[in-house]
Amino acid sequence: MEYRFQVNLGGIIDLLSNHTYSSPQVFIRELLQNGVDAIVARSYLDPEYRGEMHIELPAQFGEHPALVFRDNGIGLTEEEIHLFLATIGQTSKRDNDLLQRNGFIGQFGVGLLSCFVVSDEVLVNTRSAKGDAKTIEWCGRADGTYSLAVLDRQMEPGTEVRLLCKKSAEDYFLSETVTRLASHYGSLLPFPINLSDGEGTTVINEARPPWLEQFADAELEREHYLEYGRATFAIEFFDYIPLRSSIGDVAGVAFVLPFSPSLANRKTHRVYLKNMLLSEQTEGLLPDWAFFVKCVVNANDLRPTASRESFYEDAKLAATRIALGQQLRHYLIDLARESPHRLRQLIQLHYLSIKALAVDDEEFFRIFIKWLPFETNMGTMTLTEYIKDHDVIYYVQNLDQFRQTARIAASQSLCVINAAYTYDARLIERVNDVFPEVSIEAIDSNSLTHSFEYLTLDEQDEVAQFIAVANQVLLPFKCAVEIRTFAPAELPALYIAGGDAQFKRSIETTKEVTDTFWSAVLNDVESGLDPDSGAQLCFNYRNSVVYKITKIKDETLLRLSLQMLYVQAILLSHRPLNAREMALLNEGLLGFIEWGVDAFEGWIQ
Amino acid sequence: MSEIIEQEIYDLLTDAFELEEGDEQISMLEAAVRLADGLRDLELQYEIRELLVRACVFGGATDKGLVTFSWCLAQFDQHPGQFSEWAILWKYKWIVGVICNFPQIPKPRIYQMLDDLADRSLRAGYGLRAVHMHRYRAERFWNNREQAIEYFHRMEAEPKDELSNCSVCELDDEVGFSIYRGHDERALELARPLLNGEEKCATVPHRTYANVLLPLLRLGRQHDALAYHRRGYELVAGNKSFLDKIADHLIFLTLTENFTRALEVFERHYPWMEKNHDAFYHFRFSRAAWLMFEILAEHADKSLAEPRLRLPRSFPPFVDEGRYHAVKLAAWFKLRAEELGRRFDRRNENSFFAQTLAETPALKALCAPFAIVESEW
Repeated sequence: MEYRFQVNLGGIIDLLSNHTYSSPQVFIRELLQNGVDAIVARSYLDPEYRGEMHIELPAQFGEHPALVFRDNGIGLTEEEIHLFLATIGQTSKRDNDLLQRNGFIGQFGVGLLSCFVVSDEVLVNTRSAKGDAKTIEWCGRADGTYSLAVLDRQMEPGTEVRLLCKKSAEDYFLSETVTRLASHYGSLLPFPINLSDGEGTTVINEARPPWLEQFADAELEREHYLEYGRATFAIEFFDYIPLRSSIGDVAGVAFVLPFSPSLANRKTHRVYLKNMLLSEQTEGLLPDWAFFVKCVVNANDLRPTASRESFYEDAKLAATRIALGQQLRHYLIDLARESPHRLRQLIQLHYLSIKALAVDDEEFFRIFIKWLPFETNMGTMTLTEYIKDHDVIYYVQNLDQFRQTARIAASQSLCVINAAYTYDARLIERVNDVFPEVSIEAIDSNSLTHSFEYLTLDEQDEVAQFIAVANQVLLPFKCAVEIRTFAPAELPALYIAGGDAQFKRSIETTKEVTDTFWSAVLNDVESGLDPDSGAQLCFNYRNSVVYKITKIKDETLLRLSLQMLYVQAILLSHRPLNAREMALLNEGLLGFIEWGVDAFEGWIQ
Repeated sequence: MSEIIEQEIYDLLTDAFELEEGDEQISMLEAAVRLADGLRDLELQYEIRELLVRACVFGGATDKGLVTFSWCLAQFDQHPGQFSEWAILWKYKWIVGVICNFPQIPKPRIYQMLDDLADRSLRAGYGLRAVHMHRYRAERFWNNREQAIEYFHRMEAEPKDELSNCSVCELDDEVGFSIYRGHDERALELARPLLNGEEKCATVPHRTYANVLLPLLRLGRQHDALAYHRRGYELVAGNKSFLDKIADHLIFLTLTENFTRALEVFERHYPWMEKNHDAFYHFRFSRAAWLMFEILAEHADKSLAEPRLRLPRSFPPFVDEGRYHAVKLAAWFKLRAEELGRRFDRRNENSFFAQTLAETPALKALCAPFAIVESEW
């Protein structure tokens, strides 16, 4: 008898390949999943029963390569076949509610659809293990027609799915590909998957994962785990941490990466649900800080999302995450106690992960803070090393400020930590918990000047004229003027833009290009900033050029010199000149040449 | 020379890409901008600033994002055809999405900006779905209720296009809209795929978890609220652009009397107030801190009424030994919230923020102890 089901199969196949599944190769996963479900269902009926699956790649099946997938599971009755077809008709995607109502039978139908991505015809022979069922043959075709027949021949209970390779899907029917995919998805399955090709039959999932094995000694265990890591990821891991959680019924292993993972490579764990591969991009199973490991984990009691590519975010997942996080944490703490040398190596690779945990975990912080590296203007060092030589910890909170202060601080013999990196400032702020005797001070380029020496009263009188002119020259640039004595003596002046000053400067620069409307908006923004936080030019009285300039009586020359010192100080601070400063540079340079030529002519006359 | 600088820029960008959004990423991109400005290579200056706008908006430095964006828009206009129109309009959306947070920007200027975005969208061949969404947000910001609701419905009537938000964000907006209308149960029904982790994007469900906390408390569903606090707080705790959402978590912890954890959260995030200029974030956080300290002040337990806190020296009521009086802190944060509220009300020409503050103590009616028991997790 011929029937026609009311779905647009073309549309569904498109949907499957473009939306529900990430690639055509998942047809293997779906076949395995169907087999698993059928075996599990049958073992409820008969606990003595032993399930197994068989994938056969006949040398030739008609003109096309073929694939036969067989399981000895529960099988389907005629009625159930109609039910799965109804499910296909009703749902255009994996609607969880509907599938749960129809149990694995509904799942079966949807899973079968993925086979159309590689085969124009799907032939199913099945016989139910329930009662005295008949063998049924269902043959579905990509054009949307199917036929159903009751066969005379009796097969053993179970299901056999036969696929005929469609054009351009040949790769998916190669023995190597099928072996790779089947073991990729099903390597953890607790019943054998046999694969037969022209060469013979092999069990592709014979090896047990190490967490299911017993080992005679620790050395052997270590060897096995690391070998498993190598075989799975082709990575020589630094170490391994067995994972187990009764919540979520999770077991597996976390491998410590031998390199610092890039952002994109974090959270790429291989996660199995009930022994079938769920995803290699699962999020949320480990705490966010735990990006120093790569895991293989099986969970029996967590719920997958509809796409079956990650877990449902619920209280159970949260609790599992905490339990697994604890185990990683204990590993680190044990390492700190038992092999500090290994820990030091691990920290070199994964200090970011450790810092991420330490900022939020007081006990962990106490243990690890002394090991963690920080960047300073005198090289990278741990806090213990820093404190050995200094009573006060100075740190700056952003990269720009660090660049501005590093050199000057060094010439004052001040060791400054660059705490611009993500967790550093927060870690430093709680250093007193462990080292109560040190004091901690956040500085920026402004506060650096506090350590500069003031001029004597006499000296102040001598530079009064100089300061007055300087203030006048720099007024249009919203830059205040100071003169102090500081090291290094070669530095004539320091341009300081801490706090809001740098931001104000970028507003000014931006206003050079914006139209009236946006300039008004920028003025609004600026009006909300601290009016006292302008830039500052601090002259160094110890510098011989500055010293000479303070004595200049010629106002033109004084102005030119001030302008040039200002521009030079900005350039030395690695800031690009804005248009007005560029004009100042040009004007100053030409002015100097003119002045020099005039002076020279005056001299030869 | 310029090759060396280009290499340095490239290194900075590579490092910046490796970072989560935040100050560190912003400061790397700022350094790259300064180098590119030195080279005076317009393409490069523009491209890096595009990255910087994103980093600022998603990293909590809204003011820097605004300034950087205005530079890009000016160059976009002055060099027709040279830069992507869609990309600048998309960023324009981010900017109008935060513009109300600046009380110093007058209302007419905000309307003018929205009109400008509408003009530009139409001229580029897009519809107004995105613009209506932002008009709704602006009207909602100053509680012009009827207008807000009308714009939301007008948004829904417009077809989706490349400028409208992704479907996950739009669902989150619908959830927010339902809460705004007072339909808590409907909101939670809508939010289900977001809350259980089936639908996600860059900022959702991060915001969603925080937004549903009060509705859940109102419905007496403390247990769910607690679970969403757990997950939601983790998602927002590392990013300054979520300071307003952290305020929601703080209120939740206070109302369920998880005071120790509330104080930890406060202690951890107060420093963010000093590190960004966003007045709206400050308002929301100050209001939450005020409510918390006011409730703590009445507490019989001395360790709560006079909590020990680790706060930066720059905290105006800082005390050396770290022992504070909740009464005093409540007063300080109340004053701070009022001062900020006044700035918004002056700009908005109404008293919505003052009213919000006046109604804040009434939240105490939702107070019901529901302790986080660590061992249950």
